[in-house]
Amino acid sequence: MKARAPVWSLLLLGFACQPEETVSTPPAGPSPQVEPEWFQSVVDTALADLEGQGLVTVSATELREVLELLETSQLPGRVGALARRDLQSRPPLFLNGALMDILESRESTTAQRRLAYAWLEQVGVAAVMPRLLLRRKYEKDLLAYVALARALLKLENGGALEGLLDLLQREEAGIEEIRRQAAAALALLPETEEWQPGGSFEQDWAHLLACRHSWFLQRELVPGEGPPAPFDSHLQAEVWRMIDRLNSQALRPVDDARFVLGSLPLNVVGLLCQATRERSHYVREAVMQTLSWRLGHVCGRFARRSDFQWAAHFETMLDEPRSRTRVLEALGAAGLAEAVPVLQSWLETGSWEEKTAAADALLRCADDSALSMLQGFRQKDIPLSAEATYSLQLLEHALDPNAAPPAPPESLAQGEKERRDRWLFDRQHRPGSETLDQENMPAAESGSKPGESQSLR
Amino acid sequence: MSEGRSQSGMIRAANLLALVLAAGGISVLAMVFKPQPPPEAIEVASSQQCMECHPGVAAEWQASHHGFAFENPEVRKLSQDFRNEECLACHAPRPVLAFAPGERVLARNSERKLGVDCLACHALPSGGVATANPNPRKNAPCRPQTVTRMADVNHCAACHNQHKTVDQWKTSPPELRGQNCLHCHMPPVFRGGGRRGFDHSFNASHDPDSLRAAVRLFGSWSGDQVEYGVENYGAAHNFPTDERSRAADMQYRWHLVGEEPGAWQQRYRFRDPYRDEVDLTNTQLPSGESWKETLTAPPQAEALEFRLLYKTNPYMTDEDAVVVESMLLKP
Ligand code: HEC
Ligand code: HEC
Ligand code: HEC
Ligand code: HEC
Ligand code: HEC
Repeated sequence: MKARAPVWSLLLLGFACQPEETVSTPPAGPSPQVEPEWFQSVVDTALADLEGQGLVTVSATELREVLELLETSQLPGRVGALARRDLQSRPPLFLNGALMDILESRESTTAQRRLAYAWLEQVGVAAVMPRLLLRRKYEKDLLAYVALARALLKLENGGALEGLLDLLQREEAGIEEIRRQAAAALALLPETEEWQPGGSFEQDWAHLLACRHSWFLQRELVPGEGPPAPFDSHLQAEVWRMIDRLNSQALRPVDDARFVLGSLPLNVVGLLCQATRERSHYVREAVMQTLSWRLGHVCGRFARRSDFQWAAHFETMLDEPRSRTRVLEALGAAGLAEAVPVLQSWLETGSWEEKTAAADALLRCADDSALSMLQGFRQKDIPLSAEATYSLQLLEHALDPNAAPPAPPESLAQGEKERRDRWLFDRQHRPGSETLDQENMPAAESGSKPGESQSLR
Repeated sequence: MSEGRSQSGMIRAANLLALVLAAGGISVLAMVFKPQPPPEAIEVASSQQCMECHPGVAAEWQASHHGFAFENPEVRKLSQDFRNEECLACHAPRPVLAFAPGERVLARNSERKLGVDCLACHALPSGGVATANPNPRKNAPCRPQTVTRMADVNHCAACHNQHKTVDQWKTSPPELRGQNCLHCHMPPVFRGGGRRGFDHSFNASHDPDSLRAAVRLFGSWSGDQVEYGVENYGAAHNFPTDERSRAADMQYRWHLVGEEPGAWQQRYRFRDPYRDEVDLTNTQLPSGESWKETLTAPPQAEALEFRLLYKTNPYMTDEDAVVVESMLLKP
C-alpha cells in the first residue's frame, strides 16, 4: 500500500477495481497555472546584456604570475619597485579579478590575503565590491579584516563599519595592534565640512558614528539627495551574478548573496526591484527577503529619492499566489504608508498566512491615517493568527496611546513577539521619522562580527 | 545485518512490515466497497486542528525533533533567536508539497513555534491533506488524498539534502536502502481503532537505540596483532549524516595484566567538517562500509577495549557523549 510494498499495492488496486481518479497522481510541484504577465527572465536577460562586463576571469597561469608579483612587490629596492609597477600596469578589471581569486582561494596564506586587501585598497574598482563584501563572512584574521575594511571604505562602502566599531570596542588584551590599525582606518572615512582626517580620536569616533548612521539609513556614508548614484556596467554585471546565485538549490550561495546584496550602495534597491519580476520563484523570494529582512527602511529612502512607486510596483505582483506573503512583507518593509490600502484588503480577505503577512507589514508602514481602519477592523472580529493579532495590537497602541496596551496572545512564541517588538522600534527609521539616537542604534546590518565563525552549517 | 547482536526497535519494527500490511490490507478492502457519504470537508488553517483529531500522531510528533525545530535551544542559539531569518526556511517551513519534488522549501509567516508541523508535510496546495495510502477515507474531514510523493525520498530531500543525506541514500547498498527513508525512520504503529499508522517520532541521533542500530563493532586478535573496527551496517546513508556538527569518535585502551585500564586514546573521528575547517576532510562512514585498523599488542596486554562515542556537536566532551557501543577483545 505504501510505496514500501509495491506488490501489495498492485494486488489491492487490481482487486478493488478502483476507478481511475481515486488514485490521483502526485502533483509535480505546484499546479501549472497561467503565468502572470509580469514574469520575465530578468536574470538571464541582464547577464546576457552585460556579457563581457565585470571582473575578468583569470587563468591559473596568470594567477600564479600575479601572486609572484605580489610577493616580489614587497622586496626593497628596484626589484620590488618593478613588480609594483608591473602590477599597476595591469588592466584594473583583470587585477581586481586576480586579487579576488587569491582572497577566495583556500590555499592562500594569511600574509598573502593581507597583501591582496592592501592592493585592493590601492587599485580597487567599484565592480569588486560584491565579492569583496562576501569576504567579511569568511575572513578570520583580524588584521586582514581591517585591511578588508580599508579597501571597502576606499570604495565608499560602509559594509565593514560595524566590524571596525566592534574591533575598536573590544577590550581584550593582545589585540592592541589590531585596534590601533582599526583606528587608523578611520582616516579613510569620507571628508565633510565638519570632519577631515588628522584630528583627535574623539572626532574620528563621532564621524564614524555619523557615517554609520547614514549607511544604516540609506547605504551612503554621507547622506546624499536626489536619485542614488547609478552603478557602472561592471558593477551591475557583478551584482547580477550575485542575484543569479539566489536560484541555487544549495543554500550557501543563497545565504552568501543575500549577505552581499544587503550591503551595497543605495542603488542596489533598484536592481533588486527589477529582479522581483524574475520568473524563478526562488530568486523572487530571496530578493524580496533581502529587501524586507535586510534593507527595510533603506527601500523607503530609495523610493522617495528616485520617485519609485513602491506600492504600485509590488501590488501588481499580488496576483501570483506562491510569493504573495513575501510581496505583502515587502510592501510594508519600506515603511511607506502608501501601502496601507492594499494591505488592508489582504488583511480582511487573505488566507491565514496572508493575513499574518499583511498585519506584520502594516505594523512596519502604517501611519496615523490607518487608525480608524484598525479600529473598524477590530470590530469585525475576523480570526487572525497570534502573530497578526499582536502586530495589530502594537500598531494600534503606537498610533493611539489611549488604545489598550498590547497583550501578547499566549500561543505567541517569545522570539516572534520580540521580532514584532523590533519592528515597532524600527518605525523610528521610516522615511520622514528620524528621531534616532546614534549611540543607541541597533546594529546597522545583521551579519558578521569580524573573526566569528559564520559558516557553521 | 544479523551479526550476532540484537537489532534495535527501529529496524526490527521495519521487518514487521509485511505482517502489518497484510492486516491493514483487509480493512482497506472492506472500506473500498462501502458507499461513501459526501465529504464534510473542513478548512484546516493550523496544525493545532490536526492534532485535536489525530492525538496519537500528535504525541509522537510533539516529542520529535520536527516538533522541536523552532523551539530547539541549539537552533535558537546558532540563529540568534532566528534573527538570522534564513534559518526559518526549514525550521518553520511552508508546506513542502507546494514546491517541486526535492526542491528546497521556504519560510512561512505564522505559527512558526510549531516547527516542522503537520501542514509542512501534509498540506496540499489545493486544500486537503496528502497521504501515501492508496485508499484513504475520502470522507474524512481533512479530505485525505493519495499522493505517492508522500512516501518518496524527495519529500524528505526538501530539507534533508543540503548535506547530501538523500544522495548518500541513493548510492547505499540495496539491502539497506529499503524503499525510502520511511523504511527505517517511520516504522509502523497501530492507531486507535486498529488502523495502521507510521511512527512520527523520527528517532535518530538523539536516540541511543537508533544509534546502536546504525553501527556494529568488530575485532579479532591473532598473535600480537589486534584488528578492530566499525561497520555502518544499519544506516542507508553516512554515519554520522546531515548536520556537519555531528561527530563519532573511535577510542581504545589496553588492559594490562595486574593494572587498571589506562586512559582512553582518541583514534579516529567520523565527521563532515565545517566549511571553514579547511584542513579537515569528510571522514563520515558510508553506508555498508567499514573502518578498521591493526594494532600491535604490548607484551602484558590481556585485552583491548574499544568504544564508539557519538557527539551531537564536535566540541562535546567524552563525558557528555553517548557511548554507542563498546567491546572488550581478548586474545
Ligand atoms: C475533525 C477531525 C480531523 C481533522 C481536523 C484532521 N483530520 Fe485527518 N483524518 C481524520 C479522520 C477521521 C481520518 C480517517 C481515519 C481513518 O482512516 O480511520 C483522517 C485521515 C487522515 C489521513 C489519512 C490516513 C490514512 O493513512 O489513510 C491523514 C494523512 C490525515 N488525516 C492527516 C491530517 C492532517 C495533516 C490534518 C491537519 C491538516 C488533519 N488530518 C486534520 C480526522 C481529522
Ligand atoms: C520541511 C523540512 C523537513 C522535511 C520535509 C523533513 N524534515 Fe526531518 N528535520 C527537519 C528539521 C529542521 C530537523 C531538525 C529539527 C531540530 O532538531 O531542531 C529534522 C530532523 C529530522 C530527524 C531527527 C534528527 C535528530 O537530530 O534526531 C530525522 C530522523 C528526520 N528529520 C527525518 C526525516 C524524514 C525521514 C523525512 C521525510 C519523511 C523528513 N525528515 C522530512 C526538517 C524536515
Ligand atoms: C535546508 C533546510 C535547513 C535550513 C535552511 C536550516 N536548517 Fe538547521 N537543520 C535542518 C535539518 C534537516 C536538521 C536535522 C539534521 C540532523 O539532525 O543532522 C537541522 C538541524 C539543525 C541543528 C541541530 C539541532 C539539534 O538538536 O542537534 C541546528 C543547531 C540547526 N539546524 C541550526 C540551524 C541554523 C542556525 C540555521 C540558519 C543558519 C539552520 N539550521 C537552517 C535543516 C535546515
Ligand atoms: C536502513 C535504515 C535507514 C534508512 C533507509 C535511512 N536511515 Fe536515516 N538513520 C538511520 C539510523 C540507524 C540513524 C542513526 C544513526 C545516525 O545518526 O547516523 C539515522 C539517522 C538519520 C538522521 C539523523 C542525523 C543527525 O545528525 O541527527 C537523519 C536526518 C536521517 N537519518 C535522515 C534519513 C533520510 C532523509 C533518509 C532517506 C533518504 C534516511 N535517513 C534513510 C537509518 C536509516
Ligand atoms: C516530516 C514530515 C511529517 C510531519 C511533520 C508529519 N507527518 Fe504525518 N506522515 C508523514 C509521512 C511520510 C507519512 C507516511 C506516509 C503516509 O501514510 O502518507 C505520514 C502519515 C500520517 C498519517 C497516516 C498514518 C498514521 O500514522 O496514522 C497521519 C494521520 C498523519 N501522518 C498525520 C500527521 C499529523 C496530525 C501531523 C502533525 C502532528 C503529522 N502527520 C506530521 C510525514 C509527516
